[in-house]
Amino acid sequence: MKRFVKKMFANYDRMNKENITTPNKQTAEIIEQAKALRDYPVSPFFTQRVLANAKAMNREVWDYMNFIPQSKMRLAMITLVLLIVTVINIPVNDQDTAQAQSSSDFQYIVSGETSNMNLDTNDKVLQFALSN
Amino acid sequence: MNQEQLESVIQLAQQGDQKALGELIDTFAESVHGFIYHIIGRRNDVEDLAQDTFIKMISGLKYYQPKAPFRAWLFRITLNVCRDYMRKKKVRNIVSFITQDYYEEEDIIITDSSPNPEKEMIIKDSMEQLEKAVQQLPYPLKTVFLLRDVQELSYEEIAETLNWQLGTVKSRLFRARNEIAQLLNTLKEK
Repeated sequence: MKRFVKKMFANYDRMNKENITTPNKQTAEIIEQAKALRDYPVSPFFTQRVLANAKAMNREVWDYMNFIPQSKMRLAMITLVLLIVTVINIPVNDQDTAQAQSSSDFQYIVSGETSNMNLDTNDKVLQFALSN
Repeated sequence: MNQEQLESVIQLAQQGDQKALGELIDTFAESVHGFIYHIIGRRNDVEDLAQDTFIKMISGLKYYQPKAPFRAWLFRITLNVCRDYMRKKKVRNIVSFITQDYYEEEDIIITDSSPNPEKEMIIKDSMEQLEKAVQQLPYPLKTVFLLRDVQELSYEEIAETLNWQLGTVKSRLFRARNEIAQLLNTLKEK
């Protein structure tokens, strides 16, 4: 902490010596001239263009449903979409369940005949086949 | 627009008032354009980048805390947009010399009422030299110079914008001015 304060004061002294706070004549001229660099010609209707683009970008997904006039119709549309998504997903789920069922059945039957031997790896299956 | 007016316009803009948003853009359009132009050093993409900046400003306005200085917040967005652009274009260290059409198209920079062509030429020359010198500065020095001496942000606002310590802002500004003075001397000698 002590070192930090010392360093800070040393910097302050250096800045004072180098006249950082009081610019010399040439620097003062530069500062004066620099103000003119701020101006830049802005094209007409720039603001309107920005506002229109911002509005278009902020449009939410639900805004695209505006082409459907009545709110009940919109609700029906959303329900229909959900129904279609559900119908598409059902066969996939059924298939998964069937696979899971057959694999567990198979394991049960096999393990019943081979005194509870677990056949979860290829090596164990090969061992079982060779031994029987 | 004074501080109180600005605050009320920001408040309205945060509520989505299109007129207030328009006023905000109108107020800062010129300085944002100018700042982008001096940072990237070319005219071509200035308007697109300014548009990106204001669109980001509009979408981020709901997160803006009124306690923070608005100009610092806006210029931070502008700098981020410029950085992204330069990263994409890889023009960070390219020294670009200023195109002449900038002054030919717009005479708003030279605000001398007396019709003295010789004097105008001298002013125009010195402005061009100043722009060249600014373009040759290293990125951090250029940024601090533009924010302080061109955009006239306070030291505190600059520290907020660039996320620097106040001392760093002052010392880098000092270095920037010195380097510009040296560059101007070199250009004059040529």
